Amino acid sequence: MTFSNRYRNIALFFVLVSMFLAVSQPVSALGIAPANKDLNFEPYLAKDIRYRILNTNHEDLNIRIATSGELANYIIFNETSLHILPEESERYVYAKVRLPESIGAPGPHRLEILFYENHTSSLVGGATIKSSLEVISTLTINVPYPSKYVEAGLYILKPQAKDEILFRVPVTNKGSEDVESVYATIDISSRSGFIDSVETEQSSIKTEGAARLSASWKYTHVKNGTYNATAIVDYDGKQTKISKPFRIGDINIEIADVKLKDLRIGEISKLTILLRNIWNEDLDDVFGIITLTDPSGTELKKFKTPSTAIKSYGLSEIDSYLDARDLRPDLYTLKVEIFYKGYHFVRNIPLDLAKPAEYESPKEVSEITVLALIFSALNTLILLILIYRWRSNK
Amino acid sequence: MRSTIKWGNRNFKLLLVLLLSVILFLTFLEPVVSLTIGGTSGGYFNGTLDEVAIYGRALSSAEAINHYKRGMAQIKVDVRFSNDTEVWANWINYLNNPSGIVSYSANYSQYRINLTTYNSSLTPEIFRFTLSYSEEISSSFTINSVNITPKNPNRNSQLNCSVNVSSDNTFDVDFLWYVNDKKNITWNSTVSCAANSVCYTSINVSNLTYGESYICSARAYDGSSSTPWQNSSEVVVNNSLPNVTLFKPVNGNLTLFNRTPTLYWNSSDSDGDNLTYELRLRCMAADCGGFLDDLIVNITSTSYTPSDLLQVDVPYNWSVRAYDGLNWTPYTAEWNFTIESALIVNIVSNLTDFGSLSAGSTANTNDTGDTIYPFTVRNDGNIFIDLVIKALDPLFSQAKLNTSYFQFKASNSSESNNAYDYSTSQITWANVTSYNVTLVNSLNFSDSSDEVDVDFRITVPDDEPSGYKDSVIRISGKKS
Repeated sequence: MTFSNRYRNIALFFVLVSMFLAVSQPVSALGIAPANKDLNFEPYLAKDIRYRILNTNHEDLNIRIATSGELANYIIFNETSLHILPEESERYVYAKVRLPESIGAPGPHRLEILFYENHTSSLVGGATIKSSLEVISTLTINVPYPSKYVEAGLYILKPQAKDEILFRVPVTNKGSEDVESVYATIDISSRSGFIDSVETEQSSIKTEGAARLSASWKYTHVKNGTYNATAIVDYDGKQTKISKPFRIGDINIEIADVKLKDLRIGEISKLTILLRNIWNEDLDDVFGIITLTDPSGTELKKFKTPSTAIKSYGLSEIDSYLDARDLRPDLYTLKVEIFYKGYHFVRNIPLDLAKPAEYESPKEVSEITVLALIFSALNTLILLILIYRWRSNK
Repeated sequence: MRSTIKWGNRNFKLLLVLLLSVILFLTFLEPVVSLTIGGTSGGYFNGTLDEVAIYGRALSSAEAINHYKRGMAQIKVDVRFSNDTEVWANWINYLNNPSGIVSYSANYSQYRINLTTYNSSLTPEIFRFTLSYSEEISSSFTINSVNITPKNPNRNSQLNCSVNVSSDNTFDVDFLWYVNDKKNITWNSTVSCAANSVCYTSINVSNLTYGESYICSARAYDGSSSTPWQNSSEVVVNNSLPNVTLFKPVNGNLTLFNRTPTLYWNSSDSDGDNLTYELRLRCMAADCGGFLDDLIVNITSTSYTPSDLLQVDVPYNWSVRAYDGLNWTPYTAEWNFTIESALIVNIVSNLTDFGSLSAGSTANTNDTGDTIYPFTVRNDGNIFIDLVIKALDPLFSQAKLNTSYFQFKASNSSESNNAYDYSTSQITWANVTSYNVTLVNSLNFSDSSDEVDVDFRITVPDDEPSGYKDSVIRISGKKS
């Protein structure tokens, strides 16, 4: 190795190291627990709260703690600047909450506790953008409302049994007085109107207390679709309402029929896909992807159809064209995939192009069709008899 | 007056007759004559005579019958036994015992003799009663005890019977079993034993059924005599309830992180039964956020991981009970835990280097391929979070913040799709400002979908002097 080669290698090494440093991405993570905390206001409330600063990436962290919000002055930390070593996965800090006699209007009063990285700037070169992390824990202090006041939620839980939905109504007494009697009536409705109503058990709630009310709804003759539940919470003569939509079953589109008009080798044929919406809402932007494969499974053609909208429980057709000009007589498979948002429905149809003929997917003859045919035949017979009699009378 | 005896006279004749009578009397009565009963000088009666009596006169027929009636047939001898003279066994008719011998092993015996007569005018008497005994069984060859082990068997136990025998010689023991008081020959066995030893059955009784009672019976034989059969105490096949103890998360854990924590418990069952468990998990808050709030589930393993998320910052109580195929144990005492809400923001890629740009040129992280990296932010916590963004300092000296020279937007990370709420997040270019503005809302924490890219677009002002340019972007996260 010559002297010049040696310098060339050293230079190459530094270039590679520089490139590595430039390309490698530093990692930074910061966490806090709990992410939020609730306190009920009491005059001169004194409360100590423990926070965990999480160093999940085991980095050398310089952390500052600050507070913001109208109540920022009422919370004091035991330390506001910390150096957390890489070997520390977490560090506990403690806050003292010391509230005044009153803090204003009833309702929630939030203050934010900010834990942020004390970033030291260092230029890397060129135009660089660097990150600095902050995590915020929220402390909510609830000042009770005068008299009787509750806040309620509504959750629609997984069915406990088939054809059953469980409604949970958590009710929190945020008033200054106890609630003697509270219950909820849950009205279930669809776009077409009221369907049913169920009632929860009755309970009583002390001030700052809470109750979990429940009611289950058995549905037997309800179609799949989106419905709405409204919980009317009645507490000592007052009411509050909360509504939530929920689903029974899941969105379903039936590929009712696939028609290939005059399908022949060497021609372009019209492909019609008949779709049925088995859902109680209109569905927009429904489209298909058609894939033609040969017997070995090789994909020969793949194309997207135009989009369509389907009314609730309605039918809709999507028209497209299948180019069979470059196909040879064979047994093919037509894969029809229908997409709607995150939903996906598939139907595979065998295509026998060895014997070119018009293809229509097998249809079932409905009872109505049979009745209509019988009716038509009877009508024709009666008409013939009447004509015969009329001619005979002549 | 004095008389004179003369042969020729009448007084003399009377004297001679008297003298002859005496001689004759003495001749016939005085000599000892042998009396033989039941035999002659030539032979004896081969049998037994009883009720022998000699009268000095001939008996009438009635007297002879009465004599018979006072005979042995009217003597009744009973015997009874006791070990403590307090509790006596029933009276046994001694004479009616077929063997004529009463065997017993008691410490005390009591005899009762009744004399009866058909004629109350008779007065039978017993002049003599002789009692004799002989020790027929050797005191050194006895069964001391018969025992079944274990005394409290369960269905998986194997019963063994042992016999403690006192014997100076070797002996054999026959074992047999009673199941629910019925003899069962399945486990009959005979075992040869050493002198003065405890002997065990050679066949253990297995495949026991819950509730069945077992008795072992044993008899020893020393080659010449056998002991009576002796039974063990009854043992009944029990069902031992399993023991369940909760393991982890430990009671009162307030800092769990995983929203679907695995719950572990230990169990043991002396029966060795296959156990199934029922776990009850309850959210103890009124508002559990629509997350799992009351679960009862049957499990075959000793751990369970809920498939649904649990709520954070509320206590959950859990307990387990076990079923061994017959009975349920009571639920264990409830343990509680709390999953603490943890907000963790991880900037996987936190440096964007645009390199050298000329004045007036524009570059962004969105369409420049892999050469200029966007920030990639990952939600490593256990709650949905909102992210806001601001610059701590401007990037250019000739362009303030909140101008089109320095912009940002959120986009899908290559690792995650649908990780945040597109409708409320900043997914189009917006100016970087010196105050917090929304970056993304509801960034998911699920590992498969918890990342978002933060793209930057910069335009170098025409009058920007050359040199290194940098800006620190603060990304703040808080609970959604």
